[in-house]
Amino acid sequence: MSAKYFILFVQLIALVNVGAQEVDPDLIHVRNRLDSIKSFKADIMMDVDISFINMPTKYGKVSYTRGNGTKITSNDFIMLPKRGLDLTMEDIFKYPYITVQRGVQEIGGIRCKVLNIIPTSEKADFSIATLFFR
Amino acid sequence: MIGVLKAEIYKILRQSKTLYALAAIFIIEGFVLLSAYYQGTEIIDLLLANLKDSFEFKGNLLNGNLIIYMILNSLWFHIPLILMIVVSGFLTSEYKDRTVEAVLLQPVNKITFIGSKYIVSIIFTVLVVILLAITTFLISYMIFGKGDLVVYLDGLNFYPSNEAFWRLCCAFMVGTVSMLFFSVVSLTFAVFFKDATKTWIVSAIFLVCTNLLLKIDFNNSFWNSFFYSKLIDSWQYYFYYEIPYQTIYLNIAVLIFYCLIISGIGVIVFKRRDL
Amino acid sequence: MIFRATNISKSYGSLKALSEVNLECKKGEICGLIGANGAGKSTLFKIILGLIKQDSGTIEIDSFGLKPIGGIIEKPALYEYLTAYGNLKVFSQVQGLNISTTLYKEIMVQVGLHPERKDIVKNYSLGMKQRLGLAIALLNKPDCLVLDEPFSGLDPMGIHGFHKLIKKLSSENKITILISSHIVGELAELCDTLYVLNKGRMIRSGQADELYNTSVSSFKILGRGFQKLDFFNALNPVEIQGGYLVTTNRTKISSIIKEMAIHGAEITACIPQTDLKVLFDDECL
Repeated sequence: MSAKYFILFVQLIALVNVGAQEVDPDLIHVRNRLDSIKSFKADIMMDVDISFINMPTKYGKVSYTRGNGTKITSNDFIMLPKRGLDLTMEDIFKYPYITVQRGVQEIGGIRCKVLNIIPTSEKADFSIATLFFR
Repeated sequence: MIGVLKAEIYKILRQSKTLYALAAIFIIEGFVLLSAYYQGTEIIDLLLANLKDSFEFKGNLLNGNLIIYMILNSLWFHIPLILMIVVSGFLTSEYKDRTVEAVLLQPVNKITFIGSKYIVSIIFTVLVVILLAITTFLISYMIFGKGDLVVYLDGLNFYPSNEAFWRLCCAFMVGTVSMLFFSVVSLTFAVFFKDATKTWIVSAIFLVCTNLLLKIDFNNSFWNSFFYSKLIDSWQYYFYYEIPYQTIYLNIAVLIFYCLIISGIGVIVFKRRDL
Repeated sequence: MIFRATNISKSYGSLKALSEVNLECKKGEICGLIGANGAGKSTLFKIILGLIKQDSGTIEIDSFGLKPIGGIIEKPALYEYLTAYGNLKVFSQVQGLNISTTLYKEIMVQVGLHPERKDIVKNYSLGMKQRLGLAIALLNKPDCLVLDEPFSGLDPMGIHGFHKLIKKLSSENKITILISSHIVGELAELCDTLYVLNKGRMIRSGQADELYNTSVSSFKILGRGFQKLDFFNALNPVEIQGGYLVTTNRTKISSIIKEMAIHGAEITACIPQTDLKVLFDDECL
């Protein structure tokens, strides 16, 4: 009986420790900023980087409204990837996740902090995301 | 020479076969437009089938520019065949009706006579292609509007509407030189064979062989660069993403040179032969 | 002399089409060239008109006009999808001539065609096509006209009409006309000078009436009242098509006719029959 209670205690401690694992403060800052956005519009430039496709730079507009998602429009013919085009990173933070620090990396001459986001829910449609913080 | 040219133009405008030839060309154009109208979307879906899983497409690829490109592809076979039949008929019909004799009974020399035939053939060919281009552009844009052009050539190439327009215009211009080559060849065949049916058969065989030889790799850079059949498709180069201008200009120059040689042979043979 | 062909020879492989043929015509003269089919008439005319080149020999034309010789080879070659005006316009343009409406009407009237006719030449009869061919040959006023078998295919009325036209052109316009035919009768009353071509060789030439006279060996006599005469039957006449063919020469025929008249015969016609064998036989020279 006492062994049973001991194992339960250890599990509770473990859970508390897990619950207490910190999300990177930079990510929290970014997340809060993104959560504060209700809508936005912007002009965008699109380039297709696929070896067998030659397409000139395309210009369009992106608009976002919380709850209605992101819409991209253009007068030109455009190709949009079906997956991974999440400018507000809503999809990344939609389900519970953990973060793992990956140190610092230089990208294009800019030192960036690298962070992995790993969703803990099976419903998420990605297995790992890498974020670069400037 | 001017008088002979005027007479030739007058005869061409009065012959019913000129109208039939133009009608045939526009019927072909009409068929392409119709098939594009009813089946165009399926054709584009087929072209982009591999990409549809990963990408979403916004915009209409079934537009006037694509239709013009499809009609431009009739420069492979349909247009040269019609041109070869009509142009060779300029001379074979005169042999059949013996009007070659009748004209040469007048104070006009053989070189002037046959030279004017070649010149008028060139004018006719250029006008046919111009007419085809103008009607194609007008009707295609009217029915299908403008938009990006997609061409599957050494990869999938997308061209914005404005760029597609001038590429298509340039392709028609270069394609005209290819058509001139076929016209000159058919007239030279007419000088050799005189009979209409023989000339048509030989012209058709020549056209088929040209298209077959185009696909053969000769494993020799000289032949691959200068053999006539390799020059015929120069208009296609305007649909490579990076246009090889030097190659196009060289090909046009060589093709024009071949036209001059072939027409020269025709003139010499016509002059030397008794009627 | 407006025109002279000297020692013209032409071969096609082993076949000798013409062998040292000589021919000359004076200004305003109508010359006839008789020969059987395949004698070389068309070949000679094509050489004269410059359509083919002779192997040897020379052609001289005493004319300084833009178009010294006009001609028609066999049937006239016309643009059948054009009207008469269209044909004249095309053939005028090729030789640098501007054909006005006035000139067109003048030419059409000259050859006996209606200038108002607007339909295409395909609808014309052969006689009309011949006349239009002649009109085209006369463009630019040549000094010499070469007509190869112009009566071929024409009906008797057509032949008669064409005869009249040729005589008119020769007498009024002083055009030298060289005509060929394989039918002796067509040229008999038309030509001043006659040439006989046989197997590529010119075997006979001279004044037309003299040549015919020397080739006559029989006469066709039509009439009544002589069939039972003894002296007539002694000539062994052969009955043909409403008359009798009597074999004799020109010197004796007049005495025979006189004798028949004395015996009360009614002679309605006495037609000399040209012996083609004599005319075309070069061994008879």
